[in-house]
Amino acid sequence: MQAKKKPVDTKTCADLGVSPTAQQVIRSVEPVPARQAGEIVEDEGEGYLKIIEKLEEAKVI
Amino acid sequence: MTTWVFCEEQNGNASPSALELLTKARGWGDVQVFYVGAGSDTAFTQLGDHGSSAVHHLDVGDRLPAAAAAAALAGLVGESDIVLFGMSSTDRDVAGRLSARTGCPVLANAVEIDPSGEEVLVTNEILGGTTRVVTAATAGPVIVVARPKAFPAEQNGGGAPGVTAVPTPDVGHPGGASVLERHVEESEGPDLEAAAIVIGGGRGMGGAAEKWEPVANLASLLGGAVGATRAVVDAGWVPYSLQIGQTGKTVKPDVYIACGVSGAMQHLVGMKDSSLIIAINKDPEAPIFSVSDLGIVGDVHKVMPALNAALENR
Ligand SMILES: Cc1cc2nc3c(=O)[nH]c(=O)nc-3n(C[C@H](O)[C@H](O)[C@H](O)COP(=O)(O)OP(=O)(O)OC[C@H]3O[C@@H](n4cnc5c(N)ncnc54)[C@H](O)[C@@H]3O)c2cc1C
Repeated sequence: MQAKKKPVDTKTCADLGVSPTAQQVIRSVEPVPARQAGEIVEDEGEGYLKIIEKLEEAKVI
Repeated sequence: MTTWVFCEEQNGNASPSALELLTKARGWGDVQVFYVGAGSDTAFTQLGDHGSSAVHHLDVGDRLPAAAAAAALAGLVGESDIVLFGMSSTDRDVAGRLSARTGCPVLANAVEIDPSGEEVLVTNEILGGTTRVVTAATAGPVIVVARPKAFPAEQNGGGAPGVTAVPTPDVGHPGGASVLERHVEESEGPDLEAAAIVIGGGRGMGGAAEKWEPVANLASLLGGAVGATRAVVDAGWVPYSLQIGQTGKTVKPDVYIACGVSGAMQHLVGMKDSSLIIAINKDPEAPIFSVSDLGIVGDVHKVMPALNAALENR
């Protein structure tokens, strides 16, 4: 309530001696193509074999 | 037009971001490096090998370099130049100060930079990496802060560049802050940010010590590095230096294996550009599966021991 009684002094940019100009301009905004979800496998005790297969495909093992 | 790449010395080497940015910029024309640190032939040669023709070397000893670096850099760069920074705290500190000195904006978080047209176009990703914004700077020098790993670092065999010493400018009070101590992160195995394989463990691992062990074992079996989610780091299971994501490290390995990680946006932005993503999570609805090439719906404490045992027997 006290705050509401305080004077509000409004200044323009010119009062402060500044003239703001945009120095960066947005040229486009686009969604990023979503990464395709791959294969989803329920683990029935053999799920690890799928991982091994993938790692072999990727030639890391 | 000259492109300037900022480089802060790291343990006698050039910063990884400088090598990435040099690789990106060397095709544009003249590329020079503004180098901060004690100076080392190893680092200078790395910079030359990545396409820098000239290195401007500022050594401020144990003082914090940003204020002096920005003042010196402001005296070197011209209106038609581009100045590229990485995301280390010194890089960002200097970029901000240079912006204040030149009155030119900083285009931050860049994942693409294209100076080939009439204006320099800088792309960044917003809203958790789901939206790309292309921004043009209308005043120069154009100051850009690029995301780590946005560009691969590749040598082109340029050889040793010419090195010019830059005198330390007197910046008064802000130049007085100094470095009292340095702590070097100790870690075993490959460096998390450079590793070709990263095993990311989440809260689903269930705890520190023996519950976390499958993550460490898998990493060592594959010669990879261990990373973690913020939940794990906050719980104190592993040190903060292993955190991957918005407020942690950015990784872009050939293979990322997420173990008990839900896939919160803040985590995904740090790893979603990995070439191959494999996830193990017991919740079929976990968001990590939406970015995974292979998802295993199951218990990490069943899948991982079986996987590790199979790898051990190979
Ligand atoms: C400003 C801000 C910045 C942030 N920065 C980061 C950041 O840099 N990096 C980051 O990682 N996070 C960050 N976060 C936190 C982020 O929002 C998530 O809270 C965090 O990533 C979740 O970590 P988690 O996946 O380990 O845990 P949870 O979200 O709790 O997920 C655990 C997962 O494990 C699965 N699970 C549980 N038990 C098993 C089991 N036995 N077997 C298999 N799966 C199991 C569950 O199904 C669940 O999906 C940030 C948040 C904010 C607000």
